[in-house]
Amino acid sequence: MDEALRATARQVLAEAPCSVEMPAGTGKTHLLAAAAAEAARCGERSLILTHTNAGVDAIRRRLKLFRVPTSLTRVETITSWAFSLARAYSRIAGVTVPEVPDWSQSTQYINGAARVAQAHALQRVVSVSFDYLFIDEYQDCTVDQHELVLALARAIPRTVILGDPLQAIFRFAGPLAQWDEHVLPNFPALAVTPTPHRWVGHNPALGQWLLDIRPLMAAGQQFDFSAQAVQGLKWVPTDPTAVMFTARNSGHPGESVVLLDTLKHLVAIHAGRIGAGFTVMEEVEGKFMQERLRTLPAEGDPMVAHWLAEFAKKCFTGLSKFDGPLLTRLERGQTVSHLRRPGFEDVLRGLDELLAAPTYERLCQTAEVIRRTPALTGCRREAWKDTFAAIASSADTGATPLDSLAHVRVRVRHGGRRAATRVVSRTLLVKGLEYDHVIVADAGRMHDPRNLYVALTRARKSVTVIGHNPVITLQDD
Amino acid sequence: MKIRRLIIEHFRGIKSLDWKLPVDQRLITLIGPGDTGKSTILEAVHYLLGDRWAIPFDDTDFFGVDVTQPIVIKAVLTDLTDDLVKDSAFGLWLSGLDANGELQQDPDDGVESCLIVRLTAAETLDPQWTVERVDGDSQPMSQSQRRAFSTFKVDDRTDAQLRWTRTSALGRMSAKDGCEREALAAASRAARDALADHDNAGLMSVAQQVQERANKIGGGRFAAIRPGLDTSRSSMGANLALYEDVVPLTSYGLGSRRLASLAVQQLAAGNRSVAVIDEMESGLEPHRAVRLLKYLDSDDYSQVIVTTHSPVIVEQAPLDSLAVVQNRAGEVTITSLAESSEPIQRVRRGRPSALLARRVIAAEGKTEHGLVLALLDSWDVERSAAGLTTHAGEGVAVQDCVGGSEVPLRAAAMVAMGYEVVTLMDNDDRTVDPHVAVAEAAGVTVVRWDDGMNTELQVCAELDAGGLSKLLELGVELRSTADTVVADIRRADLEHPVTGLQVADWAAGGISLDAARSRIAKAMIDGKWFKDVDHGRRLGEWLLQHRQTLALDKVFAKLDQLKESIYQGPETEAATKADEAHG
Repeated sequence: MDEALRATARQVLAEAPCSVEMPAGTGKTHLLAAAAAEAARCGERSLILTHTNAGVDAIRRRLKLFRVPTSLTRVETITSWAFSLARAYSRIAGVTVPEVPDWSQSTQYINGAARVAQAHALQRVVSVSFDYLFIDEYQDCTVDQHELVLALARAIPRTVILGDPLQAIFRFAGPLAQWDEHVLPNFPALAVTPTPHRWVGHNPALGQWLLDIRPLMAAGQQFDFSAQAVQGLKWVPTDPTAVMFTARNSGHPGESVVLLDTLKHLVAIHAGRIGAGFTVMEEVEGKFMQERLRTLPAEGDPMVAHWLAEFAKKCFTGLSKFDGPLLTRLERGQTVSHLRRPGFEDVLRGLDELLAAPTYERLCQTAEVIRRTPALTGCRREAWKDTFAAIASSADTGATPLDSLAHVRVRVRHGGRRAATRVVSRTLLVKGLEYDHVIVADAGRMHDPRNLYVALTRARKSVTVIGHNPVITLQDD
Repeated sequence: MKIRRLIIEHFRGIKSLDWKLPVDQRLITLIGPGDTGKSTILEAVHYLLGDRWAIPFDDTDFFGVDVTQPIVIKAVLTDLTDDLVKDSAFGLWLSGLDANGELQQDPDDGVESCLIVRLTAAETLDPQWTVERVDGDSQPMSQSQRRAFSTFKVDDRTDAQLRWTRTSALGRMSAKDGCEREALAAASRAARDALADHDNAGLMSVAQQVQERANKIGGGRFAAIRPGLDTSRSSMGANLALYEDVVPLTSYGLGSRRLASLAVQQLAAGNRSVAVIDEMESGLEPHRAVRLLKYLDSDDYSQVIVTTHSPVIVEQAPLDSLAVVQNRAGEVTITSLAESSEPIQRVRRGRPSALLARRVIAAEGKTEHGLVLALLDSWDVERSAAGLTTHAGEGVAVQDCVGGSEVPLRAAAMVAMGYEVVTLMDNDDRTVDPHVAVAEAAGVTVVRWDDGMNTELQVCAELDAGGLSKLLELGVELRSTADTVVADIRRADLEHPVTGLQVADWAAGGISLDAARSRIAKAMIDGKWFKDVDHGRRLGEWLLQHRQTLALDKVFAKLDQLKESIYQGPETEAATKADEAHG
């Protein structure tokens, strides 16, 4: 730990209760870990809460780096900590809590845990257990989670809130706590001078620019991309092929590229058009895969061949050969290998075999034949892979393919994402991730200041913005 | 930390016990008859809350040696220390205890937080420690978690606590700065005499603390406690130990060693512990034992549970601290004296040893007390010869009730506390009758002389002139001269003078046999012939001596009834054996 970091960490501890607003890429999690490490040096124990399992892992790795004894920290997601409290004291929580968490009930757990944390007995438990409370990524806290944090902070007065209100775009679990309304009155701001760590060795000027534009990222502001002069930032006027050409020509081999848009179906369309190895990033729960699996015919039903062909068309580019006549025959349960489809002979034979023996095992085999076909490029490789992993696993375990999918996707939930190098996605899904090059597919749609800011700050080296008009009027979604 | 409720099942002589401990009383002095399981209760507490790694249970630890019924020791703990309620300890395993002592699933506001902990040993003999909730959810407890209960026991195996070892309390106190290793290294280099010159501030300060605490606890007279090199166990290498000047504390008497050991363990356990001390007076003179008791009561330790067999302790202990343990075929009850009736409090003051008995003979007064003692001696000889228990083996004590209505009152009160009570009382005061009826209804075995009789009248009631003269010979022995006896008899009826001690001659003076009987009884009473225990005892001996030759049938009808009630036998013998196995 360098001296500057140590000094800042000590300042954070000394000022607690406080909130620290830190922009993306400026070492927020690093500072959190350093502060917990400094507390641990004095034998003081910290409760550290964040939102995702990936976040927990990242914090634990840094704590390990600083050699903080595990006995002096407890790192959890807010929901898993809430589950522990509500599960232990479900009567006070007023909720029924199963032994194995049902994460669809997270809000119940959070509200229950807030009641538990307010009980005198638990105030004491929390107060004697921890000297500091750290909450990372506070901008993602819902109002419900904020209530829980307030209850915990009553028992642990030395609470430190870290986050970046400009990155507050998680919204699926209720209204988010607002920095001005909820955070600052309880946790006075501590100003920490940000250093753009993420861009060191890539494009420091871009990093500095991303800090400089923060004041402009607010509803009502006009933001003019053509007026920005910074190395690595490029404005491209829209035309029918702009997205495809920009994406295909982005980055040197080995560098990572993400193309961002706002809507799910647009993401799928972009990926299909671009090809060139770009693939759709699926959200954690995998809705697209769920939809497909819901329509999967039962084993023994020859319709699985038709289902497979339809699914393949959505996951690969270059499948124009799966045309009407072919699909119609499959829908009627008729063989297709006599059709002339050069380059697809193996695939058609596989489909016929599947018609003859429509087992899930055969289904997975034919799917593999499709994946290996040289003429095809996957644009939803993640969906393809996990869907068939789920089907294969259900053949082994007897669980439904849909339940197996949940199991397969736990890997993403807990282990974080493997960095695919060429990705099409929505901003929401790439929070916390970094890419060498970012392409914004349509600046006109990216008008929410937080959405735009998260998109821009994913880039280490360059940002390319495509749009009709370089001037965007920022407005909240 | 405080134990608020203790449940024991199938452990040694205890089939079941559910004890709600007094809330505000930190010192608890368990008393009662021998072999009721007092020591077993302390052992149970120590097993459950001590930090032993394992417990060598064997089949005889199961009640009735029936291993199919698991041993369960369970406690409800409140006043939990910070260490215990941490999230990493038992912070998420708390339960609630309401004002009525009833458990609740969650520690809601308005109820006390508590922990339910349990030790179970089934047929495999493997001890399992768990923390549990009302709904049955449970989780194992590790040895290091159990260490946070900081409960210790002072017993006769105290010497280990007077040495610095890895596991001893002294060792733990010094472990923080590693001073004992430093001293041992120095000592082994320079050997014993070098240690005399070695100045180790850390160890000296620990020794100093022990000295102060030991002196405070029990009036010890240590003046120069210091660490010294104990080479007495040379096979195990040198050891650091506590010395008083040049004498190792391990060479002191049992009492002093126990005091020092208590001091050491208290210091190591910190301020919020539970201590159990079996037979707290062991090895201590009464005044030191009382001093220790006062210390334990005044000290700010969370809870101290002791047992005692000392009447001095029973007499001196704060009344609220005393609790009587009773065992009926394994069903154990513990009754606090805090709320006890006035008569019980008078028993404690007047005759504390009665509270240590199983069965009590409530005697009318000193005469009857002595009389009964003489009879017990005689009956014991008889029974020993026949291979039967003596009265001591039956846990029988005699209580002198200072007369009158007090006998049934005390008897009834003691029955209510679980004691078995037999009376030997007069029958010449009709105002006592209602109390007797109450006592009998409560379960007292009332042995009472014939209607209208007191002891002296009953003895005289059937005697003829010769017998009465024999009785007057006993009077001469007790009153020193014949003249004194004659004077006593004269005083009893000044209108009918007697000249000698031959009662047969009195008829000539117009004194009928009946008049002679009542006159002699009156003389005996007024002259206080038997009004102390020794003289009562002589009367008893006289009765036994003349049982075959004089008319004493009605007297012995009553005394045999008494005997039958005192020696009841088989049930108590079995209990004795069960507990002896763990003596």
